[in-house]
Parts: sequence; structure tokens; C-alpha cells
Amino acid sequence: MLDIVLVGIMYGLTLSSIALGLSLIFGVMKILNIAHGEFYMMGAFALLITMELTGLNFWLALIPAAIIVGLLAIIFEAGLHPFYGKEPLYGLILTLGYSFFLRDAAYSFSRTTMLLPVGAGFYSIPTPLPGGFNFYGMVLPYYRFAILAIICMLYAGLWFLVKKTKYGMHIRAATQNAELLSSDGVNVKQVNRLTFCIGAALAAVAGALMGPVTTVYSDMGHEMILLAFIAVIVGGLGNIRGCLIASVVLSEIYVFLSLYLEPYWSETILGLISMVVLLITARRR
Amino acid sequence: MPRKTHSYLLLLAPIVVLLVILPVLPHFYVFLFCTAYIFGMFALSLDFLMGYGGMPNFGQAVFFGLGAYVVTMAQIWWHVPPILSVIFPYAFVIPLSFALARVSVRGGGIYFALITIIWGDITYRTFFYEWTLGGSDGLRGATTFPLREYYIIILIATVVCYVLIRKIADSQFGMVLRAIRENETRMRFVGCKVENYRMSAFVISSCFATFAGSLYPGLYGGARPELLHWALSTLAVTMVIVGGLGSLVGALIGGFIITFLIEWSTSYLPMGGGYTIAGLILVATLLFMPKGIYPTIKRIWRS
Amino acid sequence: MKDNIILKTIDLSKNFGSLAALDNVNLEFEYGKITSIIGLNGAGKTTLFNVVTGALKATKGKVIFEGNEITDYPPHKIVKLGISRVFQITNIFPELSVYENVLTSFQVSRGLKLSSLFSKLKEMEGVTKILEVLDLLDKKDLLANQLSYGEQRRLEAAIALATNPKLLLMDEPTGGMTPLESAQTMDFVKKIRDTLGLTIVFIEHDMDVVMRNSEHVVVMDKGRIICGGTPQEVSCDGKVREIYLGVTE
Repeated sequence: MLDIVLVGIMYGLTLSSIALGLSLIFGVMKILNIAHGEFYMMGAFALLITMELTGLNFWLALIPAAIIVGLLAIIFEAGLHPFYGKEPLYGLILTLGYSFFLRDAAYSFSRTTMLLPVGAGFYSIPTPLPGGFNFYGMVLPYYRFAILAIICMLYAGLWFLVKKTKYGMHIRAATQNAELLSSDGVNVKQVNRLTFCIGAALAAVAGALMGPVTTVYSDMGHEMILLAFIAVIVGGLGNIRGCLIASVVLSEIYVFLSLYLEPYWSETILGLISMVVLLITARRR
Repeated sequence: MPRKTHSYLLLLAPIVVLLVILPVLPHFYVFLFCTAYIFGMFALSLDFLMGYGGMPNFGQAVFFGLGAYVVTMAQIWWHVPPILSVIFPYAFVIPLSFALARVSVRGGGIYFALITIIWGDITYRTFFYEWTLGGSDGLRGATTFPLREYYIIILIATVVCYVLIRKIADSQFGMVLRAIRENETRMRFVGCKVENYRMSAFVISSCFATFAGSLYPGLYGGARPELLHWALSTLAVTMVIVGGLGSLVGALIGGFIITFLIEWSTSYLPMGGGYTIAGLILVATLLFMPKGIYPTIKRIWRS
Repeated sequence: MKDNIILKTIDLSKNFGSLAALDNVNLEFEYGKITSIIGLNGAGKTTLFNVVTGALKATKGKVIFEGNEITDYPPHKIVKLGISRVFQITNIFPELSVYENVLTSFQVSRGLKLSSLFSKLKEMEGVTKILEVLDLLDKKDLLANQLSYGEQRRLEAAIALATNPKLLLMDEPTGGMTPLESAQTMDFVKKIRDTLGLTIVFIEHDMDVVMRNSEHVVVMDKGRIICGGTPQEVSCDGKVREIYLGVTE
């Protein structure tokens, strides 16, 4: 039982890495980034490529992976500029376009590239930390704890950033009233760019970390994005704590459901629960 | 010249062209054109819903796919002659879309979009996993029509579809929808039951999507679960945006462009590639031609 | 029940948490009169409008319109009964034409039939008349966002009038206007009342406008009614002078 709960928490935190970035981006820039799952996926691929090209070990390769994706995110963020403050639909659709492009390009890349060892688009990474705790006959893999630990460290860093630094204050202010902030002389453009990149980097690290667990493939982010949306909306757009809680709860529910039911039913029931929760949240706001 | 006559004349010219080239087109292209018409009509239904109703329905493919599925089922399970089989989908789709509208429209905005994705996803997986419904291979065995004759049928269907949607969009009902889009709060204060209008627009657009889907089996011989997937809805959204949101004609143009693009790219690019190009076109359109192709051309033509 | 009272509130209260935005408000408005509601910011004037029109739910008390209790009715129902509102911030349909702005309101408040799915936009006499009264007829084909500020305010009023109201609530009709524009606006207000036979209640801050154009004045402060009467009576009232002029007697 415990390992199931652990898996749930692990998936929950991973999901929240995507959802948090999404929530932050929405809170600050009022744009729902459909392509966010692709940053997760790109993190995993960036990790693979880094390891392949530089021979760095897994842990060290995480850093360049995050940085690469964070830098690439700047380009995507630039494309969003014309849509700030306009009807949110257009920004959403632009990110949809990004998502199409990134996913399909990654698919083509993963099927044809010479850069990585030949695979049918799925790349497995041997677990960086083999073995596990022996707990009443169950094996709790060390690596999963490592994932939890790293993500918690990242969140600690994020918390520090948001609560204690000037930039963090700007983010919190922008979530409330971006216009006022810019008239105060703060460079809102920079805040936006930084927010977007941090959100992307966060997702990228999560993707890289999950690489060994789920294997690396072009759709890996896409599969999580729907659940991430739900977590963001249910937790409250721009509300970090709510987002975190919602992510973990939703993931736990999913993990438990999939324990007892076949995939079709566990996904469908999760979907129905999500719909009900969304409707209730919509009523209240 | 009054606007109505002008736009109908504009419609007539391409129709004539499309008819005239039929004898000359190679088989493969006739097929491609037919596919483009069908997806164009699908995009049209979504353009009405998004452009006039202001509701981005990512589950619109459900109605399209159901159109194809029920027509196929009617033919292979209940032995209904093909001509009659196209009527069957509405018996399922209309109550379903009423129910879905009731559930989805309340939320508005983001909630609406998300809820549509969810039930779209549920429907897709239901058909994908359920073998009695054809499973991942879908259903086969519907009657396909002789291609060049079917081309004419589909072309006429497209024209009829467009004219109907245009009439509704230009009607008082359409005006109310536009007003709701502009200023929902004010409409409430003017006595408008906004939800009712939105639900009506939803059901109407779902019927048109079903109409488009019902023509699919006659071309492809059956239905597949991919037709229900929200990826198809997002493709339709792309067609709408590229052509020009709210312009109606733009949806047809967008339908053509994207269909041709995907076909070209799957033939000439190594792996997949269709969505890569679609994504690039979408991004390019939004950044450089945000109003879409048709409105931009209209503006250039006027000045 | 008096025959000449069109709208009445009984002990109407609205709380936001511990803040009493409306505190046992008892008011009566007579048919055909032009009444103004004045008070400092936060006095509860707009909240009063919001509760009466159904935008907010009352915490306590009743709203009676033409003898019927309408206290918890939704906005669209209240509109159908005959109360219409002109907003403080211009609340029009920017991309529709002036004519369509009014036509939409006109038709929707009367309810569209199924046939409207295919029927074209018609020339409607009622719409033309309203545009005429508000001097917008020559601009009827312009887009609403092409109008000047003053014209948009008039369009704002036209939209409200198109619902065929018996009672018109106006929220700061002369907000942001010069004295000349204000006078012109109030002329329109009187014209509306005279030609269409409405009762009008408006919220105002401009004392000149209030004194010159109201037949009855209601003063609010901190959610309560301080006093009511003709402009003369109210301007001499001690409490009112204290609030507005800081004069203590």
C-alpha cells in the first residue's frame, strides 16, 4: 500500500511541476500555455542529448537540460507578446500551434535521428539509482525518493524566490494587477519572460527526472497536460498552493483507481470526477 | 451592390471552377478535394460556434465522428440503405449535444473548453477500447460511392451547408450571439437568457458537424476512433483561425489549406510531419496575419 | 398599496461580510417622477441599484415593483417586468452598429421566436423611435465604437430604453461631462420621461444637476437614508449640510 501512495505522491509532484509552471504563467501573463507539457518532454530529450554528446552522467546532465529548455522558452515567449491582454483564446491557440509543432517535430526527430541510439521513438534510460529500501517485503526504489527530494528542493527554491526576492514580489504583484505594476516602472516584460522560462525549466527538470521511469518519447508531456490543466483550474488559476494540492490529490486518485480498474475505467472515472469538480469550481467563482 | 448578392456571386465563381475542373482532375486529387470539403464543413460548424457563439469547443470532433460512426453502423448493422443512413446520426447527436451543452455551457470560458476536452476524450477512448464499436480499427463496410459522382454530391452539400450557416449567422439569432460575445453582462441586463442562446448555438453547430461527418463513410468506407479525438477538433480550430475566425468562408479556405498541407507533408516528409507544418502555419498566421486569410485578403482588396 | 408608487423598498439591507452596504433602506418612488439619489462615495447608491435590478441578492428586506415582490428575481426577469438600467461605465456592444445595439436589446427583451433563426434584421419602428428621441438616428449605421463619448452615453441609454421599461435607473448619467454636456444630457433625460412616460431615478454627484433637474431627492450615507424631499427641502436639511459641507449647526 505504501508504495502505491508513494507513487501517487511522486506522480503528483511531477504533475505539479507542470501545473505550477502553467499556473504561474497564467497568473502573471493570463495565458494558458497548452504547450507546457512539451517543455516537460523537451527536458527529457535535452537530457538524453546532453548525456549522449557530452558523456555527463545523469545527475549533472539535469542542469544543462533545464538551462537549454529555459533558454528555448524565451523564443516561444517572444511569440506571445502580441497577445498579452487580448482575448485569452488567441494566446491559447498560439500555444496550441507550438504544441503541434513541438510534439510532431519531436516525433519525427525521435524516429529518425542519428544523434541517439536507435529506438522506435522510445528511449529508455537506465535508472540512475538502482535498488531500493526493503520495507516489509516491498521494494521502495531509491530513485523515486531521489525524484521527490529533487523536486522538493526545487520548490523550496521557488518558494524562496517568490516570497523573499524582489522578483518574487513582482510576480505576486503581477498576478494581481499587471497594469499597475508597469506604471510603477517595473519592467513587466522581463518579469513575464523570467516567469515563462522558470516555468519551462521546472517542467523540463521534471521531465528529465521522469525519463527513467516512463521512458522518453514525444508524447510524454502531452499525456500529462490535460490533468495538469485540471489541477491548475481546480487549484485556482495563479494559486500556487492550491495547484500543488490539486495535483497531488488528482494523481493519488488516479493511481488508486488504476490499481483496481482497467485503464479505460480509471481514466474515464478520473475524467468524470474532474468534470464534476470543474463544474463546482465554476459555480463558486 | 447589396452585400448579399455580392457574397453569393463570390461563392458562385469558385463553385463553377471546382465543377469545371472535375473531369480533368486525377483520381487522387478528386479524393483529396472531397476530404477537404468534408473537413471544411466541419471547420465551418466550429467557426460558427467559436466566431459567433464565442465557445471554443474542443470536443466538436465527437459530433463529427458520431456522424461517421452512426452512418456506418446504420448500414452494416441495421442494413439501412446509404441514402437513408445519413439521417440516423441526428437521433443520437441532438439529445447528446443538448445534454453536453447543459453540462458544459454553464461554466463559460476556460471551464467550457476544458470540460469539452474531457468528454471528448472519454468518447474517444470509449470507441477506441470497445471492440463492439470497432475498437482501434474502427468500423468498416459502409458503401462508398463512385468517386466523381460523390464529388458533386459533397460539393453541393458544402454549398448548402455554407448557405444555411450564413443565413443563421446573419439572422437576428446571429446578431444576438454576436452581442453576447461583445458584452455578456449587458445582455443579461437587457433581459437575455444568455445560457439558452449559447446552448442553442451549441446544438446547431453540433448538427452541422454531424452533417460533415455523415459524409465521411461514403468516401472512406467506414469510421475510425481518430475522428472523435480532440486532436481533430484542434485541427479544425487551426483551420478556423488560419481562414479567419468568424468569417465562415475562411473556415472553408482553412479546411482546404490544412487538408492539402497534411496530405502533402505525409507524402513528402519522412515521419508524420503533418502537425509540424500545421503548427507552424498556425503560429505564423497568428503572428503575421491574426485576422486570418480571408479577412486579410478582403481588407487588401478593399484598399 | 398606494396607486402612484411604482417602486418600493422595505427594510432593504445588503451586507458584505460585516460591512452593511445597505442598512434598512425604506424608499418609495412615485410614477412619472424624476428622482435623484445622492450621497458620498460608499453611501450605498450603486449597491441599491444592484440589489433592485437583481445583480446582487439582498441580505434582508423586500423590493416591491408595481405591487409585486421582486426581491430575489434574476436580472433578466426584472428587466422583463419593466426595470432597466443605464450603467456608469459605458456598457455598449462596440463592434455592432448603433442600430444593431438598440435592435438587439429591443428584440431580446421581447423574446426571440424560433423563426428568428433565419429571419433577417428588420427595420423596427420602436427602434427608430428610440434613436430619434436620443438624436442618434443619423448615426445608426456607424459602429458603436466610432461614436464620441457623449453619443456613446446616449446609446447606452437607448439600449436600456429598448427594453420598454417603466422605470429607468441611471447611474451617474453626467459622469465626466462638462457643464454644457451635462445640461444637454439632462435635457435628453427629461425628453425621455416626457415622450415615453417613464419614471426615472438617477444617481448623481453633481449638485447643480441634481438641484436643477430633480423633482425629488434622496440622500444616502453609509447605507442609510438620511433624508428625502424636494431639492429645496433637502439642501436646507441640517444633516445633509453636515455631511456635504462639513457645517455643523
